[in-house]
Amino acid sequence: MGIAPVVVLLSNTLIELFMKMEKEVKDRIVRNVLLSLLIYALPVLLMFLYFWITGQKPWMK
Amino acid sequence: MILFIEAIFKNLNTWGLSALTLILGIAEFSLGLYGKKWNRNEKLLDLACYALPRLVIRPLVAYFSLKFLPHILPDGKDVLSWVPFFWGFIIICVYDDLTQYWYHRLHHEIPWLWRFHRTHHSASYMGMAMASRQNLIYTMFFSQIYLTSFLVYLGLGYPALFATGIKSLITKLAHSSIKWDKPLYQKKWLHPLAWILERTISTPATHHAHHADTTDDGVGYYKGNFGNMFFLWDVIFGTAHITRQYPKSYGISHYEGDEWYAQLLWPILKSKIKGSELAADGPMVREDIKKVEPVVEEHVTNLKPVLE
Repeated sequence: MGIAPVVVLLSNTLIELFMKMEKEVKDRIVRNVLLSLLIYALPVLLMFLYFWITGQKPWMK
Repeated sequence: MILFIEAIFKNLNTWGLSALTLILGIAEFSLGLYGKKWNRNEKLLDLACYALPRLVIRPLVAYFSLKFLPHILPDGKDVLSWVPFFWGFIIICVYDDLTQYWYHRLHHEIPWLWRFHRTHHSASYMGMAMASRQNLIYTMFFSQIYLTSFLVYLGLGYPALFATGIKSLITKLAHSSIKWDKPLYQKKWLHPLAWILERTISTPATHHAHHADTTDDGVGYYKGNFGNMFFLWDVIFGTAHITRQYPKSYGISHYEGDEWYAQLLWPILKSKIKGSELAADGPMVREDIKKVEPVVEEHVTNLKPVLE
């Protein structure tokens, strides 16, 4: 058995448990997760913005 | 100088942090900061949690990094080694700590997950003794360890050395019963520094509040203050509670000393304490026991008869 069915089973269980939670807590988690995705992207976006401004291409070295 | 700092962090990540935890723990114990709460059951649990991750988790992470990742991603090794140190450091700090924030927060907010994290909160004292205290399954699935190992595999190993070293120091010191942040709140000229620090990183005041046994006294707040290295996540997501005070008591209000092995290995081993969340027929989440505050005398003496 591969790892994929285990991951799917675990994800489904977590989604099921999540759906049973209080609406207020659930909504706040969803809002904060969306904001987190932006925070995860931010350092990478800022890094490339810095490279663009300074004209650097360190990946070419 | 850089080589010297590098050597410090290399040693910190191998044996230094374990040694520091031990020295600080001995200091706390000698100063009597654990009181009489550190009984045989708690000692066995704390010591097992201190030793086991070093014996189980490190080999697991080593397997993940040296065998699993090269197997599933053979061409990925060092593809990001071109990322400059500064940006690599920022990326590791954010990715590692924000992931841990979520892992931690979900164990508090999803009732089904709570019992995996309960062991860390059952200690009625703060300090190095309980800093590593976790259920083994909670530790094994520490999501940020695998994410950071993945980033190290991709080539961010050097910045990770510093980021994880600093993070470990901050989180350990936030758990310490030595309240190193207290002078920052007492001296007025240090208040601007305190304001910045308490919103940026975890401090004893904010993290102790997270370990309080109540959330109703205005100081304790186990429903928030989830940040580990950075407290900033709590500020951003509205889960922060800053009072610059320390709770009167720690732990779980209904804790009755579940056996150390049940706390370590639940759900494989169950507690024999009736009604415990870790017992075979126990509830998923037990209601808090509300403390009845004693009536303060001055309140009674200040009462004046109502004249109609």
